[in-house]
Amino acid sequence: MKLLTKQNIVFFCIIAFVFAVSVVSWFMIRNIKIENPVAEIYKNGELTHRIELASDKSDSTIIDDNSNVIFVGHKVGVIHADCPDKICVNTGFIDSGVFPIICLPNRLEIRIVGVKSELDAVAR
Amino acid sequence: MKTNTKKLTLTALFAVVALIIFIVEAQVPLPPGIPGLKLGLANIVTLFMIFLGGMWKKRDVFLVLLVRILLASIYSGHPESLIYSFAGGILALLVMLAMRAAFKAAAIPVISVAGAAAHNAGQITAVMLVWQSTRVLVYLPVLVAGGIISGLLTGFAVHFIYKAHPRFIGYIGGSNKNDV
Repeated sequence: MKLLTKQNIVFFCIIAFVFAVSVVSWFMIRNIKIENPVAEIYKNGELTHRIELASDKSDSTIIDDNSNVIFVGHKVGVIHADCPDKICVNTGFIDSGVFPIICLPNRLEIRIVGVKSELDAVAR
Repeated sequence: MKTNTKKLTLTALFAVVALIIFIVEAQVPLPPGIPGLKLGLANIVTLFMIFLGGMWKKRDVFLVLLVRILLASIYSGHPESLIYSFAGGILALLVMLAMRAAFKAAAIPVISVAGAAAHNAGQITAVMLVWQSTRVLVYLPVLVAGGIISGLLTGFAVHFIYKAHPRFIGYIGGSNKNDV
């Protein structure tokens, strides 16, 4: 089992190519912006809350569903979770982007979706 | 059939080593916000066992993997994570065994990367099935990139174990044909 055989070099090239493609698409996905964000909170796959993110910083809501405590203001984030890994808490607060906040053990998902504002409708 | 005490002891030892690696790895901080992203260093044991040969059969690797996943889920304490661990772990092992069978001369790091990719693919598929949602696919690129890095890490770790300690491999009942 030599490391630098022809076959292995081909394999390493394929690996490098796949790596490059995924890094590029990661950065492309990350830069997607969302206008007029609305937070949608899903529990066990069902939509439980749908809250427009406030433009006013003082306007906020706290949602406690026994396993997670969610803060919704001008951004949305999980501030407490009863699971050991705390991935959802460590994700921090989001107000844009395609990456949801996910808590796998409690099957909680917070998405940001865009809604066309009424002003846009009038402008058309 | 005579009970092989040496093999029994070594199997238990492999499971313990895998579990210790898993627990130590859980303390390593990683960039937050990406569910499922981790080093996957516990795969070192699985990978190492695949290449042992000699008295070590495929079912021994499966056994150690199952024991590790079960004990690790007790440690991390969430039964639902068990589904994702099984989906990832079993698929990774199957793909690594298939790769090894198909490409006899493939280097250990190559097989390791294939296993890491399969692990992430298995986990994402399990999440999509359980959640009935394809939204998690946005994580595919970062998990593939992370899997390649961790696959190379674990692959080279095992590669150098085989290269540096050929007598040790023979001592624990592995085949001496692994001229890495």
